[in-house]
Amino acid sequence: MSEFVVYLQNVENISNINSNLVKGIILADKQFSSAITTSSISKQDIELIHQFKYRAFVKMDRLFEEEELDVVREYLMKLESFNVDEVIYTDIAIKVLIEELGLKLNGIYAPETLLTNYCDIESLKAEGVSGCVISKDIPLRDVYMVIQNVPGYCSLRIHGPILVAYSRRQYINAYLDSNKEYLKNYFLQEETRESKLPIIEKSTGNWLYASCLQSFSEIKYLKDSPVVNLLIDNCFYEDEYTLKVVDLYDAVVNNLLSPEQALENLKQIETTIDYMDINELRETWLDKEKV
Amino acid sequence: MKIELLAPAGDLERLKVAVTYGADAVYFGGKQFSLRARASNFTLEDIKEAVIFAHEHGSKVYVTVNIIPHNSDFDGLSEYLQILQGLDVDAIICASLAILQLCKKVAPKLEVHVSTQQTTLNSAAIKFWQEQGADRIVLAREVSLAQIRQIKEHSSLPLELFIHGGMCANFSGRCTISNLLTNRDANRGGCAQSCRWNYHLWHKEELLDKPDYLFSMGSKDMCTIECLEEILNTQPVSLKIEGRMKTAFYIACIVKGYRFAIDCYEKQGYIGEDQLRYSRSLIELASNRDWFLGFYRGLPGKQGQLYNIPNTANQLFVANVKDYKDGVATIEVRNNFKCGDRLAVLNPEGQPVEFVVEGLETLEGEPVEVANKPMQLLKTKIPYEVNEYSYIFAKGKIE
Repeated sequence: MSEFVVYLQNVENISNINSNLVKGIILADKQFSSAITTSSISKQDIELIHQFKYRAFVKMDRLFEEEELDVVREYLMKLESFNVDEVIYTDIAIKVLIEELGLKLNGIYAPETLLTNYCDIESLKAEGVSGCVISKDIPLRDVYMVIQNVPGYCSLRIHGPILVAYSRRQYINAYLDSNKEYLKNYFLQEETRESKLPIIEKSTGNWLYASCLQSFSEIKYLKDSPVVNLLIDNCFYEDEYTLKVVDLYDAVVNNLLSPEQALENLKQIETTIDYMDINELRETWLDKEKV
Repeated sequence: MKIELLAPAGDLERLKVAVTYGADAVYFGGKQFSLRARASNFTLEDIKEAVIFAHEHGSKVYVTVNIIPHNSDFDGLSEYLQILQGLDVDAIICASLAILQLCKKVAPKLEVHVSTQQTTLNSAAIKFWQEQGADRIVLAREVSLAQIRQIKEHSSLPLELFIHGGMCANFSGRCTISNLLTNRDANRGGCAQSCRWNYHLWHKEELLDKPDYLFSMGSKDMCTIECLEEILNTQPVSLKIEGRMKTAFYIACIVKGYRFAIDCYEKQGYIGEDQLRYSRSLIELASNRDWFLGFYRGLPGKQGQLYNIPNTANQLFVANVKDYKDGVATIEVRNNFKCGDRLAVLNPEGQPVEFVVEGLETLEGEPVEVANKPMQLLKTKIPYEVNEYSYIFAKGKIE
């Protein structure tokens, strides 16, 4: 049985979680992740999560430069001293640093685009990586194949903005001749298309997102599949939104709402968000001719 | 230790040009498992011929197996790797742990180089790949010279660095804009380069577009000739030129330009000003987009971006040489030129040499005043020995 793990911008909102499906809380520090919140994770935050009987996850969805490694080491040691349970990381360096420091932190490798098959994930498991997040860039059929071939190991992002590009560059600053951070409510719109893509720019890089993934149509199957964690990971949206989303998944799992009703309700929460059903993740083509 | 100059090859012709112009190693993709699906790519017969040709000339051959594979992409891979080993390929370039491990198991004579698609930025990530048996790391293009020096202090795995060519705007392997906007898989060879398209920039409901050009993520191309000496000082094992889609003339100019500069460095320990100017002039013959130094001197900012600017491919390259006999060359027209023009010939050896087009005629002997039919074969006198690896160009800024 899979467990829901939910990203919160403010850990104090933990008391507003209604669903019994939630077993873990994800927090993130701005310096070490794409997070746009400014507060740092404290020992009290982790204690609060544990008081509520949840597991504490920390997201580190960044690639790190050589001169940052010492700071990253200190950060990992701090997380262990806080009794953080799991670190979700994008840079394989984190796996090496956790081992090098002899830390007991569990690490979940989440490189976004790179884990698109079960062979790579089996290899990572054999090499001692504690867990992996399956890429969102493969169709659901392939996701299930991965899950079945590596049962009890993978996590899957089921809800949240879909990351489509991560860069070290600072595009907006370059374009606007500025030197600042662009955190909330910035969008790119390809000149011939309607959809707007949320974008975050910080001193550490740039993250570009597509629509918001939602998985109501599959949640019952996924809930009973051998996925370890089902991640609800909202980088921009307020916790109030996230908690309502969790309630909707809970309602679908417990047969209080149909997936269609849940989606309708979801669209009422925040009308400006474009959603993509997890079933819409398509097989991609290798060349122009097939499009 | 000699630092390798590694050149791309979209097909056999370009491979032979790269080797002939001085590449110590060449890389290309097979028909499967490789990015750049639209490059011609090599059949197994081509690979066999490529290896024989390259090895005869003392060059190595690396085959890209650098897709980010989906479940079905592993079908036939094991046999393919064994075939590559049997063909005496020197290494594969891959971006998948499973492919690396499979290669070590079924084709252990092949070296495995970890592709830049893995975006390796630091020594801890390098250590991971070293522990898996990787023989070389192609560093991410976002690493600066200062960072390379730091990495070298903490890592013994040989490093390969990009020195020239197109740049992904985003971290290589971490971008799927093409998948989103065109359904073409960026990480399996179908990238539509959607980063180079124009975008409106919004803040809430406010449009932040500049009046004269739209937002773009498009990157200028990398050209590092100005900091090549500093790059060489970091003692990488290999210097890589990007561009499996580029023309043979491009390959010839870029390889020759960097070859000359690297040879100067290896002989003297530095690259002299005149030598640098000459190398740059060769490289500039094949310019097609604005250049920058990449990230070698830090985050590039605006100077690394391209906005609403069409490619500026120059028209300097005018003809291939197909044959040469008794002072008369058979040439294949690529761009306009005419009788009386002063042209120059780029050869694998020596500096470009000039000549004036004294006359042109068809293979049937009909005189031609203006060569303006692409791919037409014409005859003209050239007062120097030329061969199939010679390229004729309009006299530019060769210094």
